[in-house]
Amino acid sequence: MNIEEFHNRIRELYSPPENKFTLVDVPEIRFAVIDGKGDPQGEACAYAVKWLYSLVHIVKPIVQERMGKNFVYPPLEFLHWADSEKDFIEGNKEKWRWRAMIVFVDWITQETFTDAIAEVEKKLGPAPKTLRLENLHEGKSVQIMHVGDYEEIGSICEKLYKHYLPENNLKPCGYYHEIYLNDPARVAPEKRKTVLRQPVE
Amino acid sequence: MKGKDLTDSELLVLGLLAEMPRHGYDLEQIIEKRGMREWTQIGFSSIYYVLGKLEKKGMVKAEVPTTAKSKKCYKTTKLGQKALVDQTISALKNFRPNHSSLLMGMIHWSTLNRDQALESLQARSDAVAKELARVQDIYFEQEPLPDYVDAMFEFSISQLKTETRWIDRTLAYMQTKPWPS
Repeated sequence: MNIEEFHNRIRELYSPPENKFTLVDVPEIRFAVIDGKGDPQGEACAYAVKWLYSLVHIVKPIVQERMGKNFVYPPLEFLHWADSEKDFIEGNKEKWRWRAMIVFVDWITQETFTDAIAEVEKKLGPAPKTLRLENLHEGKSVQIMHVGDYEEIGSICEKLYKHYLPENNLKPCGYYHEIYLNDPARVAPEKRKTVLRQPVE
Repeated sequence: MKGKDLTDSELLVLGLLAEMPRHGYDLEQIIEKRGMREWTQIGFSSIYYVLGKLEKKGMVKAEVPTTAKSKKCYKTTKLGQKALVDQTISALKNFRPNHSSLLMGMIHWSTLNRDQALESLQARSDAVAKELARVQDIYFEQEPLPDYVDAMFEFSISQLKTETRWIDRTLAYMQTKPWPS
């Protein structure tokens, strides 16, 4: 895929319609990821996010130079799951597991990544143990754009898992995925955009 | 246009409230976090003073607290939005030369002896390098940044780098050139 194609593809994946679940085929995408357990509002999670953004800061000039005007700041993404489905569905967030991720396109070499880690370590101390580059291939997925407060996401998930999926003979396979397109520190709750995605079979 | 009377601090607070309605305390935190004291005169205790002035000018209004305990939440008025837009346009459009102390120093270069002149310029080079490191630290610390803030940092950093290059070149030249007696 050349840069233009990749850019258009990403646009489709990252701006689904609002108020309507749609099916997409998500290709393999590479991310920098950090895993953790417990409340996604907790400190460990915030630290993981800080690490990922710091890595982006280091590689940004390289990516910007190559992408030119097509450069888009990669959004923060999260996978959420729990060891028992019950804990997940009932929202027992202290038992959730999470994976914080930011797209690191595959032409960013492992060497560049390792160098970036060394740079960030100078400022933040030792890297989280689970920090790594990882490919994620979600394939067939249902997604929707939510515009509004993060608090409202729960009710959309309920519609997805209790109604949309069973009514369309779809089963979740793979982790529930949220993509935060706005920085909550700069965008009002009612304007925040989030892509909610669930790989299905 | 009344908007012209806005001070830097007022404009800054107005801009933050235009993002979303906020409490005074949120404003203080966000100003701290974004390092806005760097380039404005805003002080820690003056947020409520600034809010009061903006309120008096009709540019922000406080929502009436729903309970006795909840804090006042401020938001921009139409007038405030317009003043913000007008002043932002004018700030971008109009070129305002900033007079560096460097020029004042260079114009009287010949009053110094060789050591004084070269040492002062070298000291400036060190000061610029220090400032560059400091700005780069803040830049690192502040991620994630919207592209327009990214561009702001790029502007400051490129200016400092340009000054460094100029000092290096000038120093190299002045060092080799015979000093007029």
